[in-house]
Amino acid sequence: MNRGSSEEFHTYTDKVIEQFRKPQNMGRIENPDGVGTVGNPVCGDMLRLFIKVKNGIIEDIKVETFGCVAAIATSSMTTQMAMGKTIEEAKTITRKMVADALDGLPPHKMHCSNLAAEALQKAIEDYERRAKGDKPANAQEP
Amino acid sequence: MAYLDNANSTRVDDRVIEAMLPYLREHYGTAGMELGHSRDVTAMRGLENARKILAQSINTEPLTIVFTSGQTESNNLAIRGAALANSDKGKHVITCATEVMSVLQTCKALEKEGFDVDVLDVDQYGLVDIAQLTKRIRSDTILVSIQHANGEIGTVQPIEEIAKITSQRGILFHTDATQSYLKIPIDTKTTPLDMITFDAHHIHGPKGIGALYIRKGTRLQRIMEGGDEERRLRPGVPDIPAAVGFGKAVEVWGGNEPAQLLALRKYLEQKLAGQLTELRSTGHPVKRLPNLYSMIVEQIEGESMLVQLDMEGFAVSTGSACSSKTLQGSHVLKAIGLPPEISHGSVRVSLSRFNTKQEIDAFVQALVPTVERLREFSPLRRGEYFAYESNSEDEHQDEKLDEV
Repeated sequence: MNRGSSEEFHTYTDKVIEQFRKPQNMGRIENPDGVGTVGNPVCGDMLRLFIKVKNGIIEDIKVETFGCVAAIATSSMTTQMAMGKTIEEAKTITRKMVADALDGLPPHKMHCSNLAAEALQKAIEDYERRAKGDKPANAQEP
Repeated sequence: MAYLDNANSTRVDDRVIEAMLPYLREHYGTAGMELGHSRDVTAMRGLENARKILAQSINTEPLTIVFTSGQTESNNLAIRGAALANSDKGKHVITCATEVMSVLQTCKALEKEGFDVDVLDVDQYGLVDIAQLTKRIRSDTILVSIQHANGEIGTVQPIEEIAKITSQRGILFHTDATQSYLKIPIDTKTTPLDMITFDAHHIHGPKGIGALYIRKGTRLQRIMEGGDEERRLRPGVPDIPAAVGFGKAVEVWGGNEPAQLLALRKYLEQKLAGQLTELRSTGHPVKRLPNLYSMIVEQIEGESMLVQLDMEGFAVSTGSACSSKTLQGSHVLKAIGLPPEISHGSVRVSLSRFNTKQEIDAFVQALVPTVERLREFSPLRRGEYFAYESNSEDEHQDEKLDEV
């Protein structure tokens, strides 16, 4: 069993806790232009990210997250970093940039709880696929 | 604000602290010699008085109680000590999948040293199957180690039945009663147990002190070399102030405490059932520790609940993988057949004499909005879980010790 008031809590930065307490852009978008779903069976975090794109700019972004404090904080941070960016700009957003924007994550959380940037890239791929007229990928329910 | 993690450890009772202080300040002898100087003699009297109190609590003689540094050492001494001392009779040991690490890892180490270990499955409630246990017993079985109550889900094992089976066959039976000690009575005169592990810090005593009951005539080999202390079974100067505190903790334990703890737990269960949906309890509904309630809150993850509750002043536990450094979920929740996406939502509430109804009210008042908030943005919906690409089934059913 893993306990409350543990060192775990204290290894999160203030920014992580702040994002966890008041996460931004959480939820889903009806009729999105792109959807990216990622999940990690080892640690179990799972998230689905939605984008709405207009004139090549991400004009709305939302994310649904099942996971730990780090998963929720990185989800929220990723959406804030991508909001209002062009698709090309958003493509450059990486896990490391998200972690850095949160003043870092505990080492064991770097991989499985920092999936939002990956979900963003998948949502962009989905958007580009749809723009080309292919059928949407990743849009199914989990 | 409330500390609801008493299956992890408990607050030391003030009466215990007061009882210990003279043994730190004045009676700092080593209790080594009966005819020694007065500091030694007073220390020894304190130690022996504690031993007597412990012995009475399980209806045995003081001679059968050996002080150790706690649950881990008691489990090591019981299992390794009995295996080594009886290896001329056989090398087969039986335990079960929901034991604590000090049991499972000791068995695993014995395996490497040429012993054969069988790890019994448990059912969905965490109970071992007596028929399965009986079937696994071989002519060379020397030891069975099955806990009394589980600290994660609270399930109480049928140790009376197991003891009957093992005693009839001349097999040693060890039970780790750390979580159940005093909460569920044990009588060594009516139940033929050979070894019992218990400790102080789960009953408002200090950390770093435990005991092992060893029935008279049990063959046991010490696992640490040194002097003659503790009937030569546990060399080294015992922690006398802690042992005195242990004794005091047992002495002040109230006979009606289990009933009070049970009433408080039922109050919590009722409140939760009335205010949260998609909630399931884990462990056996009736055969369980009076003070422990473990649950799965569906669609959300335990660490995020735990951290949110911690920020609001409530200490609870989770078996979620996300909350451990190794990212391994609870082996107990796995053993009762819960896949990780479900065990991720585990929360354990464990009560003590210091908890009140008001604290339970406040806890539920904090938990409900926490759950609602996290569920609001969960991608999981009622009744839906992950569709993993990999086949995770094998992983969950694996009961090899390596996986523990």
